[in-house]
Amino acid sequence: MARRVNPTPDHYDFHGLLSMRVRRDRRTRADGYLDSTFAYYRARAPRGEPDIDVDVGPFEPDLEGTVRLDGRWWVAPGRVVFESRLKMAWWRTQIEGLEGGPLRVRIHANWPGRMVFPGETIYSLVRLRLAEKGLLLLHAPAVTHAGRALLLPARSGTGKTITAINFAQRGWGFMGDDSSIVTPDGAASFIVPFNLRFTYDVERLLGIRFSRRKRAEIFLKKCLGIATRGRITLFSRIYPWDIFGPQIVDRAPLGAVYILIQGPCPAVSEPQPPDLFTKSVLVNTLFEADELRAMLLAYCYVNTGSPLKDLWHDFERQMAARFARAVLRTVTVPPAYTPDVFEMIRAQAERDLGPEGDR
Amino acid sequence: MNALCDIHGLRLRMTGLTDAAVPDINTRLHWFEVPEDGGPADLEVAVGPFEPDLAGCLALDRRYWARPGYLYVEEGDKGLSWRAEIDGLERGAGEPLRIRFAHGPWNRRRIPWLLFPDVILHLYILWPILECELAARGLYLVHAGAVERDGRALLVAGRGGVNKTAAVAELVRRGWRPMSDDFVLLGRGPAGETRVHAFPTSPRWFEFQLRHMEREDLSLVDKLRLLRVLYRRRDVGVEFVREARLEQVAVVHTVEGRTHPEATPLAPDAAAESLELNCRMERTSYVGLKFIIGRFLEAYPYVVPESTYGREWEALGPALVALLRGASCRRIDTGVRYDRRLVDLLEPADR
Repeated sequence: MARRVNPTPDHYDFHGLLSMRVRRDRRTRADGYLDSTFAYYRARAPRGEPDIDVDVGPFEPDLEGTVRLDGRWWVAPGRVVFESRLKMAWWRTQIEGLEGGPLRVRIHANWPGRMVFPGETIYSLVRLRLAEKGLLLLHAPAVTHAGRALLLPARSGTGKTITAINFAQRGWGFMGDDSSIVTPDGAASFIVPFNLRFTYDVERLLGIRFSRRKRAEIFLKKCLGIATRGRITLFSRIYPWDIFGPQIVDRAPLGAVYILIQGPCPAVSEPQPPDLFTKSVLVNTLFEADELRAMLLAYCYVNTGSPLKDLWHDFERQMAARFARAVLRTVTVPPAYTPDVFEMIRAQAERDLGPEGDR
Repeated sequence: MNALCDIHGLRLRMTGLTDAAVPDINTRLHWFEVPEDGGPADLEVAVGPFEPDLAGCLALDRRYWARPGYLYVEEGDKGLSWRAEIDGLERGAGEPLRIRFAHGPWNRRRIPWLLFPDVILHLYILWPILECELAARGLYLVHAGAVERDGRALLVAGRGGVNKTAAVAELVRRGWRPMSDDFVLLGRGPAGETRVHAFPTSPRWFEFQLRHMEREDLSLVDKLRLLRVLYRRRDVGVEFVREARLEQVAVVHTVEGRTHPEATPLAPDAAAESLELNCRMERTSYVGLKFIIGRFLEAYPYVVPESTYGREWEALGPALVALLRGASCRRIDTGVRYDRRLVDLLEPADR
């Protein structure tokens, strides 16, 4: 049925912790997101059997004998089929091998869906497979100083990206502006393109000059953003490895975790005990993992007794263990992000991470 | 319009509601309404415009503002929007939880069935809070229909669309007495036994299904009758049993390609897990809308991690395992279309 014009697969390798293969029926202009999201981890050659094997293109789902839930989930042991919808985007996913073995995934999406599913479904799968290996993909940028990593979990709109960029501009190591992986021995980078809302002067912020084409794109998006009074969030994708290439750090031991929360006046708290702190960071990560949470609920509802039910409990427990030796602080960031706020965070971080910091 | 509800001991007072033309749709709690007596309530809900008090609040997602004991929510979904303020999350015993709720300007225009917009209050704000408040009183809201005979209850659990209502109506025609067709509360009785408390959310719709829908297809005349039943102001003509002892649980699944229903025994722990996850799924998927109902209660511990509000509901799984111990549980796989033979399986063999 599927006309396979482009069977050449893309291979991805996340620090040797996880490998993924993506094959698709054809390339469309909407595939830019699929091409760019994990581009930093693209590998030339496959490294054995991939952990996640994604096949993009039309397929006939195998529903025989599956339990149907809510008209959008079909669940059988080890297998889930579901349909997702986000505004105009639609995509249907079939996942096999949920309990052990490589994940075999088939995705069929409409045109807008091809722009959305990498950020939803593929993220979900990466998060799931990493969590099963005891590796925690947290919604937190990471920067390094004196060889140790500082994690900055925060809700979107608090100033994660701008803080991470500011740190990188002052010569700190850069490990990703959106997410990072917490491993048993520290943090690992998870670098995806910057998603910059055009509330900042991006060129001055990044200290670069865009090409004429990129400037036109940004100008158009800015106008659209003003015309719609910010009702649609328009992002432009800019690659961190083009800007901070030499500063990118892949692995570093964990030194400190600062959770950024929006509040009336800037403040840095005293070091926090790990149990309550972990709860906040877990909420921050769960809010980004809606699709995975819903998928696990549907799967475990039918397949009672599945170990996947305890995934988030294990996640929280492991996070508390990994955070035990780091300095944990809560930082209150005012809605208007000013250089003073950054200086406050930096001064504290240099004390916590620097050679004189208490370990 | 004001209303006072007594939900098995939890007193809920609502003021400023729209005058409901279709009570079943507008409020899912009207079966619990009692005459106003002016006494104290556990939950005070006021509908109408209000000014939030955001002093000292921390914010997240541009939607939630929280400080210990206080939460302000501005949410929207598919063109609907609403604001709510919840005060008293860290209250002591005997103090009420105060909720203020205001609709966005476009709610009434958006979808015809939302001409009666209190459904937004019930679905998105009140429902998760009720779950937590009832759990704090040892009553767990589960997504299951129930029928009663000789003081013993049979639970029919399943996701929406497995024909719980039709099965319960058919059981009632066969001599059982109805308790609820969609939700029930599970709790402990005085002697430590598990008791089922009725929680009928749409009694008029159930009455219609019981009287006029022996067959599943609705003719035009049936649809007109349905409108008449739903709009009718007089009391519901079906007597729901308030309380019974839990005896059996049937978890119904619809399986693609299955031609006849089949029952298999299920361990009570597995049944409890199904019931738990059913409740949790109810929060993440509502008729195809991708929206997390009760997300504001998850956002609150982000700012106030030391809070214990809702921890009883978080422990829903172990609580249900304890409550279902001793019940006889079965899993019934049925076809995707409603099959009357499902009801033959639901009735125990001793009859």
